[in-house]
Amino acid sequence: MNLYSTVRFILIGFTILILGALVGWYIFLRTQHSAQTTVAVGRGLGDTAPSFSGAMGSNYQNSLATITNGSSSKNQTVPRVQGDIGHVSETEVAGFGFVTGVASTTSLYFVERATGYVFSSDIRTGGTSRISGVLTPKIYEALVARDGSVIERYPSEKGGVETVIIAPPAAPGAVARRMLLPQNISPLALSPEGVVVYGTRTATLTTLWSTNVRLTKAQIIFQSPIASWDVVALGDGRIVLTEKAADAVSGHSYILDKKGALSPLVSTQPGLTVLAQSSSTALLYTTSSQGKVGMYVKANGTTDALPVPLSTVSEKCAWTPASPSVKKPATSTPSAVYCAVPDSLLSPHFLDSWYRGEIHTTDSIWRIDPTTGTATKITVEWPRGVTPPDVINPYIDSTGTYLAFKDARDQSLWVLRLQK
Amino acid sequence: MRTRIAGMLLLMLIVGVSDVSAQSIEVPGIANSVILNVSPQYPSPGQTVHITAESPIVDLATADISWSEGSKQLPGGLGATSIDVTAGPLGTRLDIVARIETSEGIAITSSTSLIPTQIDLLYDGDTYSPPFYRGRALPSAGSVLELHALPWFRALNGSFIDSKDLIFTWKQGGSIVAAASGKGKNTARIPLASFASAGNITVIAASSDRKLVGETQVQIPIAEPILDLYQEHPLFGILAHAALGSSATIEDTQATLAAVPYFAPTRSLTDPGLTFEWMVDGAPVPETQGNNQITIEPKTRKATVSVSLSHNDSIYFGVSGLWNIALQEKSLIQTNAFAPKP
Repeated sequence: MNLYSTVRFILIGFTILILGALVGWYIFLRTQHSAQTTVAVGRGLGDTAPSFSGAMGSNYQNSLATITNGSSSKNQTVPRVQGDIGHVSETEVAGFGFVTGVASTTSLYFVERATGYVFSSDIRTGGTSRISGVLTPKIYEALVARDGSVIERYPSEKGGVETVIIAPPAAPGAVARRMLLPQNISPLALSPEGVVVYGTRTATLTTLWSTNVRLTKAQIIFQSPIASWDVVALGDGRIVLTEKAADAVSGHSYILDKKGALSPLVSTQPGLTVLAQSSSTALLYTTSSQGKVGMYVKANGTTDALPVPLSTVSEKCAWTPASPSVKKPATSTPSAVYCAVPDSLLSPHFLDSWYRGEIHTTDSIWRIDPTTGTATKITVEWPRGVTPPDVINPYIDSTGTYLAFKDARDQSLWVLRLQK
Repeated sequence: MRTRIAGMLLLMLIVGVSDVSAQSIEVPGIANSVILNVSPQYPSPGQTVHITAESPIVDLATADISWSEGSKQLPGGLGATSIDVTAGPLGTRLDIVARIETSEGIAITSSTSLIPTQIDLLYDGDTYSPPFYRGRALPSAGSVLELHALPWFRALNGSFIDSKDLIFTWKQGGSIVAAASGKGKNTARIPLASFASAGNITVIAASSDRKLVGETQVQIPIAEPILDLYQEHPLFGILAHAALGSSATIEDTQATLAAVPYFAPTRSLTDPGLTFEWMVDGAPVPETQGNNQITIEPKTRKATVSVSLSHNDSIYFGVSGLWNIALQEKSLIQTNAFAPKP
């Protein structure tokens, strides 16, 4: 009887222990579910099967949608002749930039928004490979320098913004360095040569800092109570500071030279956005006030601004390199500006609505001669069925051959061949 | 006319006639009776300046007036009481001289000098806009207006005068803001306590010897706060490039939505004073109080979502919005991989 009771108690106790363990395991699994869902989605769970209907083929869609390994070949359209367009990434891209390799080859680096992975695309062959593999979802913004340095920005757990610099390995075989910049910096700019400009904010003061991708030699370059600054670090070491634009609101733009001297660039213009050319004093700026958009270009710092008969904003424009190609002088072209111009009339508060993602445009590409202010429409062979994109972040490579840009509508990445 | 002639004769008697010739009479001190009014008072480089000769006792309408800019003769003539000139670049002085010969033969010379200055008046609001918003944070009711004056004062020796050496006077609607004014005070913070416009903000800067003075003013409107709704994707984050319209379709069976204010009188959405009040299909969702995000998974695949936002510390601030959201299986509407997304 005693033995029977003992065995019974042991069994009951064992059963309770098992039930307790199961309940604990259940609770543990529930707490892990949320994080697991994010990871699973990142691995492609829930995505629809590839339809194989894309004009670019399915290899690329598969490789990026599922992200299975560190490198993959891609079958994108290669822009071989002038006017050819290639869809480099159909998924959302956080940022991109042209990178010059050791053999003077130019690759287009881009950062995938969903993963933070950095990909390198050879525009001439269409091949794409992944070169960085630290999974970081929700990359809202990415910047790429010519040496392959990358800055990624993503939301922090506290509701702010984290910014990490990924500097390329200092030597072959070394690993890339990841360094955090201060939280919630704004604005932020990265020059093609790797100059980093960022702003920190106290309750009443914005301080702009200049440093490099290794975060050495940080120095204060400007201070202002105004927080709404847009900064561009030019390749020649100059820095353009412009008040952030708002429709019909007066704006000012300044240039900070290498010695730290500030001088006015454009003053007191409504809805002002500015695009300065690196290595020259050429300038393009646009104004916006209740649907009236003005565009002006200066071939150099001493000439008057010429009106350009196009209605767009300078954020849809990119300069070709200022100096002709030394290695291939025969193939060089005079300096010019390429702009994406909305096909339809702009709404009264276009600038503000466009910034907030409330409206989008379908654009055509135009070439502007800065010496005359005249514009010529470029013929672009868009793939059949494709809506011309709402161009944002246009950027031209150092040879002036390719124009890369994002479509603001879906954040995908395109490249257009400008020269034969 | 009689009064003016009498005044002239009286003046001549008092100061005496110094030089009498067949053509004109020079009257010492009479130059002070002619004033050259300059508009704008403190011109900026390249600005057209309107100069008007005025006198309380001299009849300039019948006087022969010649104008000169340095050694350069400008158009003049009988009754030519005003002239337009263009201010030079920073660091230059333009000497304008008016030589007046009245119908009574009295010669009067009056002059003025223009040293152009420039003040850029920059501003934004101490208001919330999303971290990656490319536009300006505009001032709204209940927020603080932040101002920054950047003066470009170049002395005749070519050197720029630093802000810290200039005396700034700030005005709001014509009234001096004493707390913000003073030497080196080129910034100002002005609370905007009502719906009314911030009015004309004026800043005047002057060198300590007042040889260089500049002024600029700007009419600053109060921005209306805006509330937009975006999808918060588990991998992409907030899709700030695709604000949801009043009727929107999302390719999923469940969606997290983020209400994002623009120009709210706060710097952060974690401000405890902010209150988000969500309603789904007319029913309040109390568990989302204070949170700018909500997750919906309606069985009918349709939901009417509304949210209102207020701030405990600002009775002037309040903004709301209403959206009809339809959720659809991704595969049902993905027929063309290159079709534009809604």
